[in-house]
Amino acid sequence: MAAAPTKESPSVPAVIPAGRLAAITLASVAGGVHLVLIAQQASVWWGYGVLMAVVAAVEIGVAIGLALRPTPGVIIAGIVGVTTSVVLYVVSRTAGLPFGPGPARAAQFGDPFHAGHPDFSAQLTGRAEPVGALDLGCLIAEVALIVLLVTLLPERSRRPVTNALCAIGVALWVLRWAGVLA
Amino acid sequence: MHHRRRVGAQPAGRSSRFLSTRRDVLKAGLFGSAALALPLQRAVHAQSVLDDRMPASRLPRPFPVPFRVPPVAVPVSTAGDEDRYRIRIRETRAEILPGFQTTVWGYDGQVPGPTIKVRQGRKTKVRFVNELPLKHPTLGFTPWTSVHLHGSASLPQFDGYASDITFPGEYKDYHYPNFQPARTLWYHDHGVHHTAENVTMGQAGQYHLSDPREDALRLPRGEFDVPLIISDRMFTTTGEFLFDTNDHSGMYGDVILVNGAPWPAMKVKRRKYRFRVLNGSVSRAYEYALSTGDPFTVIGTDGGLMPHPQTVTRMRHIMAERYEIVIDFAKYKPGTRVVLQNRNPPNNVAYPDVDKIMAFDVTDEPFDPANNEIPDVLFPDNPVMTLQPRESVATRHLRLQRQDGLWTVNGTTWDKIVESGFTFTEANPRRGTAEIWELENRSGGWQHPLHIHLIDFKILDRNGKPPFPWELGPKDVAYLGENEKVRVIARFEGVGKYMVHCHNLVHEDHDMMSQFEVIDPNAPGEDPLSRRARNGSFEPDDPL
Repeated sequence: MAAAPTKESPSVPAVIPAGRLAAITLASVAGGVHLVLIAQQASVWWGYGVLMAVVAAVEIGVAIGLALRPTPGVIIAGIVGVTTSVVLYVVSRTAGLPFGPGPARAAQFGDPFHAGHPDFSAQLTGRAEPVGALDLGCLIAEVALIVLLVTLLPERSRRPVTNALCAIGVALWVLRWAGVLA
Repeated sequence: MHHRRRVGAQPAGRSSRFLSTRRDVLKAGLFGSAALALPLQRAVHAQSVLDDRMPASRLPRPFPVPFRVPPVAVPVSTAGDEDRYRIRIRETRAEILPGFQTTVWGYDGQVPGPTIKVRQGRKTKVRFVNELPLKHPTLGFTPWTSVHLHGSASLPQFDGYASDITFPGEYKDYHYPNFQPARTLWYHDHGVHHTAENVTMGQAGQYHLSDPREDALRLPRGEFDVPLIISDRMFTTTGEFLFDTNDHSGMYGDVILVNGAPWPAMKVKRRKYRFRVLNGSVSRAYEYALSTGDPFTVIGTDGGLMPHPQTVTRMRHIMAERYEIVIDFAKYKPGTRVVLQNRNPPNNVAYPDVDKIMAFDVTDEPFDPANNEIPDVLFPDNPVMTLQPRESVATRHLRLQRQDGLWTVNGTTWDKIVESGFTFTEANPRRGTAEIWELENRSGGWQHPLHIHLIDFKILDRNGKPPFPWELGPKDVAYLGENEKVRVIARFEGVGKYMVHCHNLVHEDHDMMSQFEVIDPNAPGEDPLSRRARNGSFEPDDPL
């Protein structure tokens, strides 16, 4: 039987519950890793650096939001942001990101055949990156964070969120079986 | 007043239960499994590549496989001062390890490719036709190609520019001038990002340019002038090539191939042999010595004959360098086996039998005693070797280093060249001028063979000391061991953009390439991308 909706407390309690504390920690760790990677990714392409910065900001923002104003809105925004980061990571490690410096560079060739050739664009971008220990650790933290954030939601808000996560999971597996993701 | 709902702050006993229903758990699990398993699967796959490596116990022992010489290419047609060849890059199966079939992508389906032999002054036109499949069978990449004739001062549009690629189903005609002095060149793939894989699959062959000066020297020739393409491979349990880039540091095989055969044994007569030794490995450098400890003579380097022969008992050899050495078997009794050994220089991954390369089994067969000499003087007036530092009009520095996880030349990668629309250049020497380039490997722990296209250079010094004896000839690749600094001098003839890059092909594929442009204000060079590959069938009246 589902638990009744809880009545909220108007103030932040002196002691943060363990689940929320764990979520804050995980969000901080994941955000910190992305922060560290900004310079390295920017050296490959400025857009990747910006992407890292945005993800870092979102995750650190989630940590701060959970600490100060843990509303369902903050949590759902956190789930959306972190899930987007996870999906991008999975694509980058299995098929390569579909955006980046490549298409613009291919256009510079001024050669309709080669510029429009998917493999020619692929030589400039869209290559799957190797999986490293640091990013794998960050991924685990992000997935755990998403699960924790779901548990922090009021039960009536969970179903659409878990349905969406389920749909994303199914989509990733289907893409894998279809060979789109390596 | 409306209070925003806060969560996770409920009194004990009223907090939400962890994923309260089995359905929630399943849904979250589906997402979590995809998010974690897909990248992990790829990481595990990368780790498990070596699990599929053929165990040492199933590899052939050194020396039972006979030595073989690659075939010589035959022109399709000849017109005026030009010989025309058509070489199809195609997939075949070959027995490299006894009892196993290996998928190879060779020039004319052969590994190594056929040797092209030309005379100075005759031009060649080679149509390289990419007939490879659309995807690599295990790695999945599309095998575009670009063919570089290494050692030739070709025009930029025929130099195998990395981004001037030919897709499966296309062909490109390459024109080679052959005006340079006699030398051992080699042709190999140079397609951006996949050179290591394509060369591993077999895309390499020698190209011999001869001239009257060389003819007059009475050096060993004919059957006694022997190409040796030395490389290393790793194999899967089914006999296919195995690819492991060691996190982009290099590919090191546990099987040494000479002309495509594992540790072959060559029957030799009791006389001198000239060997044109090419290190065709992706990442492995060698240090040669004879098992007898006897000396051998180096007569040629990348750019042809040295001014004077050099006698050595050991020499090191990095990727893409060519050395012509003479071994005299006259002193050995018939039945003697002389092994060409590899002393495994630093920064190379050692496996049990990579300390051996091939064997020479001395026979008592009769032989032609003609052309059995090593003159004391070979090519003393080679214009490259007579260059003096005072002739240099500029000194430039090229630092090879790993930066932010990337292999770079002066902090530049090929990505940067592409991003600039191929306009970025590292240096702009004036046509006809001489310059000194200081090449430095700051990457402790790594070796880099630096190849400068277009030119031959002379090594002035190595770490402030004289070059090694075997380096006292015209070069186009410099061995840069860890923390080594080499000064070279060259005269920049020709005009246009040319590449300069590391010839560890894994480093090259991960963008350790830059370019320079030789400037002539009165005659701009051709764009390297101006003669693209063509699609479709050949012209009906085309003799190729």
